[in-house]
Amino acid sequence: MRRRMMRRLLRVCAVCLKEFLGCFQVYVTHKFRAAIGKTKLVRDGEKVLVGISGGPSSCALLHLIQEGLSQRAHKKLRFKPGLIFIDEGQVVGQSLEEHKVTLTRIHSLLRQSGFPYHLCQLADSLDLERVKTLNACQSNHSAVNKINQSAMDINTCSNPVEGDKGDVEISGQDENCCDLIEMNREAEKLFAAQLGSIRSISGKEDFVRALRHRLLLEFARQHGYSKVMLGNTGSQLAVRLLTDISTGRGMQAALETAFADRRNTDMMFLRPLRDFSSKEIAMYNNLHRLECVFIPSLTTMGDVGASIEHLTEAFVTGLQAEYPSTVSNIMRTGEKLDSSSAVDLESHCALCQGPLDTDVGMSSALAALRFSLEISTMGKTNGERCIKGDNSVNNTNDELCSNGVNYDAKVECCGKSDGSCRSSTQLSVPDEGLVLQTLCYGCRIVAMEMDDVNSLPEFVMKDVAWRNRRSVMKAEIQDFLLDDR
Amino acid sequence: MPLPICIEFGGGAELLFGKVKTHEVNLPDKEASWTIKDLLTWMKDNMLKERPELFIQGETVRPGILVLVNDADWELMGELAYNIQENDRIVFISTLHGG
Amino acid sequence: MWAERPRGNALCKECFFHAFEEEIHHTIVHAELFKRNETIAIGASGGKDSTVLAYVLKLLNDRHDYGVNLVLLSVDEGITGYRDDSLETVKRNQEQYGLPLKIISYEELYGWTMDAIVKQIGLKNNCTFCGVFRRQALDRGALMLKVDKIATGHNADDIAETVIMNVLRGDIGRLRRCTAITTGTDGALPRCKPFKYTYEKEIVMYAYFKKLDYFSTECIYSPNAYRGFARAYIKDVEKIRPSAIIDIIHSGESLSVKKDIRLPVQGVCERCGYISSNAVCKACVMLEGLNKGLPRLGIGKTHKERRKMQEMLQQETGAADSTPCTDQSLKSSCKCENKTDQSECSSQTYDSDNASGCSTYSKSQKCKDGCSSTNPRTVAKEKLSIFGKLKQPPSIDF
Repeated sequence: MRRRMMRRLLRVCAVCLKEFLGCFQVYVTHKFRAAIGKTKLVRDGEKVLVGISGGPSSCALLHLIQEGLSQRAHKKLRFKPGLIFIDEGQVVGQSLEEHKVTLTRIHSLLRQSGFPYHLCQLADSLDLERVKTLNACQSNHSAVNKINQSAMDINTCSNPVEGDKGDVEISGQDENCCDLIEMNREAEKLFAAQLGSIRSISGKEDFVRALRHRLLLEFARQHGYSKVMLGNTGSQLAVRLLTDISTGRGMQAALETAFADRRNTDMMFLRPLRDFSSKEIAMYNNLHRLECVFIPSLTTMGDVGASIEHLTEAFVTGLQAEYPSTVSNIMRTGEKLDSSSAVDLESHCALCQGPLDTDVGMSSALAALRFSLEISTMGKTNGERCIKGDNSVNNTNDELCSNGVNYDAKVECCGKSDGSCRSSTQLSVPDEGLVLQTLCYGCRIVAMEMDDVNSLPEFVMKDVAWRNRRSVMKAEIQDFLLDDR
Repeated sequence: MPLPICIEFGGGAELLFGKVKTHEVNLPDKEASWTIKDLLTWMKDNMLKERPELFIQGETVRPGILVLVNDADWELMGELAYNIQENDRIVFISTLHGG
Repeated sequence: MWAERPRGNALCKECFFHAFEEEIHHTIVHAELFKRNETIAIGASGGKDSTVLAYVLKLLNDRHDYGVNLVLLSVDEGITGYRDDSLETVKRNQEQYGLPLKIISYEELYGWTMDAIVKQIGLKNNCTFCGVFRRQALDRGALMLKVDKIATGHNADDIAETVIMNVLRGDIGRLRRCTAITTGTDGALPRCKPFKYTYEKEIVMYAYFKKLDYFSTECIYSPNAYRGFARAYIKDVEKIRPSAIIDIIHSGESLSVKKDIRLPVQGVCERCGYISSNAVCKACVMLEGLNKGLPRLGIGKTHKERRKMQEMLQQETGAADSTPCTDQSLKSSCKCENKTDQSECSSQTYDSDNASGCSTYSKSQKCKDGCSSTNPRTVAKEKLSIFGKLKQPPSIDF
């Protein structure tokens, strides 16, 4: 309704430009406040970590927050924002020069905001986890916590100015940026190796997204933030939703596009710009002459088919141009989907933190895929053999998962169906099945694209080990459990 | 009479134009008045450095590229048919992820 | 001859056949699609999917002894230059595979061929008519054959495409239903999709290598444009990641709908007894529109439809009697005796053994449930509920 009214306003105001801009400003501000206000999720004085990539939508988000917190604002916002920038220059292989320029500009953007801010690198997500067990209990790990704390300190130190209005000059801060890179060389190398081993760009994108989420989560936890705010627009989220569906992440789709993402019980991710289109944001930025920092992505200047996300974006944008309700239809679908998430830690994906969607019956896409892999690696000798293979599918889950490993083995089929290749794969990487079990369907695809599943980030491996111990323990105490069905 | 205008790029669209954001150009003399449609053709021939398909699709701009004429959405100004005036500021902003 | 499988392995021809067939067997067994002694109607269009389906089901039924009876069921939409040719293919398949065949036509069911419909409504919404009518026609045909289930040739690509389309349209009810491998278990005739996890590409490959005889011309009436977008999209995604089709189906299977979202309740059409989420099913509304010269009825928004229908009813109030079976304009949707007699005539191609069974069925049962459910009193009462705004129940049966 509101939107339609706005349309009319836009049309009227096209005649007198000035008024139009005024209307637009009111419209955007109102919509932003309403998004935050009506959900009543952000409490007064709450510390909220705001993810700033430097791109158009996060620039607009930052500006809207600044406006909302300023004294002159009507119905002032009352939370305490802290900004975080995650440097992903390495992901896209920016040259040192370009990287420096980006960091400098981001830094001045953050510094001018007047809010506390942090700069960190995506590779930090690997480093952080090295000193931290994923176990939720904190009390009896004081030593770990200490190291952990120091690691965090290093990260915050790298911020040239903790706080605001610092008068460190840009040149000095430049050096600091480079220091930061210096400091995390090891994690960076590790990260480069992991990223490099993922074969497809779609897989890389998923991996990067998972790490980003993890880093934001961990950072917010460590620094006493209770919410994370992200600047995703409706247009982006519609693309996200469809991409999720196309990459087997249907179960997460609702979470990833909801206003409040509650996949982690202790942290809420908010998306106050989800009712805006990218176009509105671009107009807003243009209106306020906001200087965004251009952040290239893995698919910048790439073909339409560079990655699934890139393709989906082109698809949705193209469709939107012809059918203007496309984005809102997609978002409407998302709103009707269940976005509540499991409470149990063990039912989350170890990589992306989304709900585990792999506990499915024998009549499912996953089972069909497993069977397909099995039968096409086994080949045909005689009918009995195959029926036997069929039965084995029925038996254990662990075995099935390790069968998935054969995914990349280009088996020259025919006649060799003695099962030899399968057993050898199982021997060489005994943990693969276990690792894959902790991942959701979408992340399994990513993991299987890697050369070695065991080279997944430390935090995933820790989680795998923890879950394994838990299941062993559970098995041991099985007899003593009273109400275990 | 050449027609001086200002063309700006944002959101990654500048990558296709030599990474330069602001271009002050003089559109060459032409009998009929300049429309955005003419401008796009002219840009394609004279300014686009690479991957024209990432900017132009058919006769119009690729979906996802926002066009503003003096800060107003071009949809309100007649889109391709808009008659360009002297010193107009025409902005092309990519709203696509990563440009 | 080698076949690169979408799931990452290269197989030789023999192994590909084996893998292809066993995967379908796996699906059938684990989804419990068939029970011993059931009669299964294979929806046969003469196209690649249904041809391969008929071939594979027959093969697997013999190989793994499912103990089911298979019959072919074709719908003749009445599209000259398309369906008449493809039906020839089905007739050849009938001989090749030794399966009985029943052809049911729009003309006999509804009194309209697609050619005639297109003549009246043009090429814009013709696919909507065809889709709605076909769904029912298949069920009607299956009822005549007294089968227990219908197996259709919907493949993984079709299902993935439907998932994407329903997301784009925001159709949550369909989105939830469209990945079910068996539908209509609650009352109506169940339908199943043995090819749910089978890639279209592999079906074509299988048909090609097996040199199966199928008909591969596009329908002469233009296909649904919006669906075309979804199809192009999934094909592009598949190019990037070959497993994407199955990934999309997995997504569809794992979507859960919020508890407080109201989904349309599946009821039964009070006119024809067919499953419907409205009081009167779409096919009946559309048919009514065709017969009354208002072909747009049933295409636009539901509330507009209702209003039009209401107006129409008001005009005709008191003009006709309320017995459904005697109204000639209604013959197509009514399950009364004269109707089934007509359909009998066109089933010459049907295997003679079953033909007798068919005729006994149509004479006795059909009229019994068809007409008993539409006794004038209940019709009038229920109509009140659909056209709630009407002050008086319309005396005409539309």
